[in-house]
Amino acid sequence: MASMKISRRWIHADDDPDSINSRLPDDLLKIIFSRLGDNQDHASVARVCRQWRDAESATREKITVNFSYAVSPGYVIDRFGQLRALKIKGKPRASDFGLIPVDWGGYGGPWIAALALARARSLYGALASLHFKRMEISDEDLALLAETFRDALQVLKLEKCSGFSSLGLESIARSCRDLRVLSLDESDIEDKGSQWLRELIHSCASLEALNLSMTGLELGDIRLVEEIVSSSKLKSLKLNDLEDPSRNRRLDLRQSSLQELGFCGLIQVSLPSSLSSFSGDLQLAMEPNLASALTSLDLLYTTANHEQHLEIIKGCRNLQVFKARDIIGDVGLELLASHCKGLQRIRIENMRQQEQHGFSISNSGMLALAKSCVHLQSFSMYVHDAANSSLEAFAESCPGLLDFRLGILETAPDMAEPLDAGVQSLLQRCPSITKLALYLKEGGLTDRGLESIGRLGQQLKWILLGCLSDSDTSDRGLVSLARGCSNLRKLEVRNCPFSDAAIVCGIRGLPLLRYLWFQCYHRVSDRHFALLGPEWRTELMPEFYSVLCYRTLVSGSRSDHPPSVRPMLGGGGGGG
Amino acid sequence: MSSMVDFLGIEEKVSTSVSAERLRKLEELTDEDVMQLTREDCRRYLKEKGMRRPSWNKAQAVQQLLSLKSLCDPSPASSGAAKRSPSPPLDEAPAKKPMAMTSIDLKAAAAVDAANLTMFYDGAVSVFDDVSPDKAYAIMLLAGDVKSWPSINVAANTNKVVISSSELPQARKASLQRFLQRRREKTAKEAASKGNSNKSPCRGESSGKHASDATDPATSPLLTEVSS
Repeated sequence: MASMKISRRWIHADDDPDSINSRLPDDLLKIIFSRLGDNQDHASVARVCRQWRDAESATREKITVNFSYAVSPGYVIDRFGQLRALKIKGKPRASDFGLIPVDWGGYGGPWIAALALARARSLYGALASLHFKRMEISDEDLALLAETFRDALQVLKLEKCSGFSSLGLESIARSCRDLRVLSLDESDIEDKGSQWLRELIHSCASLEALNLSMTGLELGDIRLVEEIVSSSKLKSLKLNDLEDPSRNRRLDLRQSSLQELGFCGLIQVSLPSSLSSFSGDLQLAMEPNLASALTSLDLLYTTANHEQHLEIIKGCRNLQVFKARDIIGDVGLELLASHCKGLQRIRIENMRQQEQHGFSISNSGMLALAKSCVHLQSFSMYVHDAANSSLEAFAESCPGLLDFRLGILETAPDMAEPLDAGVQSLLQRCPSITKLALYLKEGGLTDRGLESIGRLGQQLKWILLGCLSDSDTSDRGLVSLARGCSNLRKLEVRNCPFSDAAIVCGIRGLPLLRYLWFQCYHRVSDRHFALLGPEWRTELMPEFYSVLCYRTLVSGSRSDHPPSVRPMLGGGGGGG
Repeated sequence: MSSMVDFLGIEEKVSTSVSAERLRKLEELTDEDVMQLTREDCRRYLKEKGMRRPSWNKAQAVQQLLSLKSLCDPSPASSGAAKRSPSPPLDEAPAKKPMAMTSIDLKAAAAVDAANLTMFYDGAVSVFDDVSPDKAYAIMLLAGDVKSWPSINVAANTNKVVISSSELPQARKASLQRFLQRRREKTAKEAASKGNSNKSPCRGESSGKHASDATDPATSPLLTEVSS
């Protein structure tokens, strides 16, 4: 090996007897490539030459299709024949907030049909895990899926999907008896009875995780829950609303080996000692032993009031993940920070229109968090006010930050100072931040701030900018951001004063950008977007005042878009 | 020889290039006519109008010409065309190599109210009044390399149609919204049926205004997804 001469003529590698390819057999290449961890490395390796690409494709075990229209099902299936796990994402993230037409698209049908075809030809034998996110899936699709995979399917996740009912779930339950994980998290499911659940309990003895949170499904009786838990090896159970009409049953889970539990509803529950994660409706503080054993607590959907929240937080010591609404206030945040110094992920939501509790998070709460929780990796918060001091505190104390999302409430007073300096510190001292969201208000960020994001943000992969005002920011800022963020893959912009021409310039300047969504344009011109080139598609959604641009290997515009979505002129389209 | 001034459509001066007799004036062509042009004709028009390196790709050349045409079209927004008079020395210095410049140096005048565009070309300075930001960027796009822009500061966005924050209530994650709405309804129902004041943790608003948020370009897609 040491004496091997590497040929310089890579493009003729196959012809050259001295090239590395004639020394290394394909099998050896495959072994080497299977050791590559990062998908980025896989992609790089695949670009070297055809032989390497084929060898690499054969070793890829997990693929995530980040945007279902970026590539055709046939392409993925033809290229990666040895997949064990496939994840496909459909609708833009903005659909979580009702900002995308309901019938926009993102159909899972073509993917499932393509998989069915492949399996009928005895391909794709290793595929055991499927994850669809924000996609439209029908009952027929699920029936085909069940028929195609049968006992081969071990993991099925339909996250934030819609278009199916509990009847589709019945066909899955009946055919896929080796299912270990079934997650329907936040999917919009038409409830046609709980027969599917009985079928699931009856057939799937290997089930380890069942997630039905925030679905449209009513489980009805808590006795069904007891049945699920007692008859299976469940480690994780997340349910929707539980009802107990009699109001005096106690759900006793102490004998179970559940590690993760979630439910909503006013039910009395005896929790198991194995519990490490809880989400849902908690009214009272847990038993001290239980509370201190928790590593993950999600109070987003709890009906507890402010004081009850404080009591709950007081018992926690070892939380790594914490989610709640801002009803906890600064007091609650400070309490959390002082008790749970190992905190890694925090998310605080605000629901001003739905609840008025008078509490909010302010800059001082954030300061307390920053100084105390030095292991913070993921920060996502709606706050009443923010100043550079807290961002600088995060920069100084939390070098491990990966994901930083800050939102200022629109009901908050005017910003005292732009956050330019704080953002700059954050990017300078937290080199691992790959996701950044700044949803601010007038005066929140200036062109200088945008320019420093460009200058210091080489590692950023996703950026969300919101509500920047036209008195402090302009096209110039966007262009200087785009000049610097060479690793940017996705950009989301809302209510910012950037012209479509500047946005197009930005896209053209970003080599890795594959997706852009922006809302609130003042004028869009087909001709500007035509300059993007043939590998980009642009969709206009006039009723939603938004534009979606994405890179795709598929030629032509998609045929399954609704009337509310208008594809714009393609780049290389007309006139040969 | 064409000049930068022609490229912007500021001057009425017609190109004196040889091909002017063969080609009709760009201004006389409709968009449909442009789309029927051959690639070579497109490139000829573009070069004539001052474009440094028109695309070799026919479809892109057509698009570039359409964009250029829209810049040249007289319209209220493109008031650059209206101000033809004060155009400094540029037309006197054309004789040199036409588009040998390597970069366009664009700097906006610091005027408070006007959106001016200042261009430096071949040692001369031109100032064009009332160039909208869109036009400025279209110009820069056509001119080529994004990387060669030093500082761009088109002052005072004259088309302030951006929705201000006050009209744009923040978006809420739909699932959380539905949960709180459902709970409000439930506690209201319970309070009504029980007849006593059941102290519910959250007092909600009475109207379901959030239902309109779906089509309201209001709600902010923000921060969720702390999970992977």
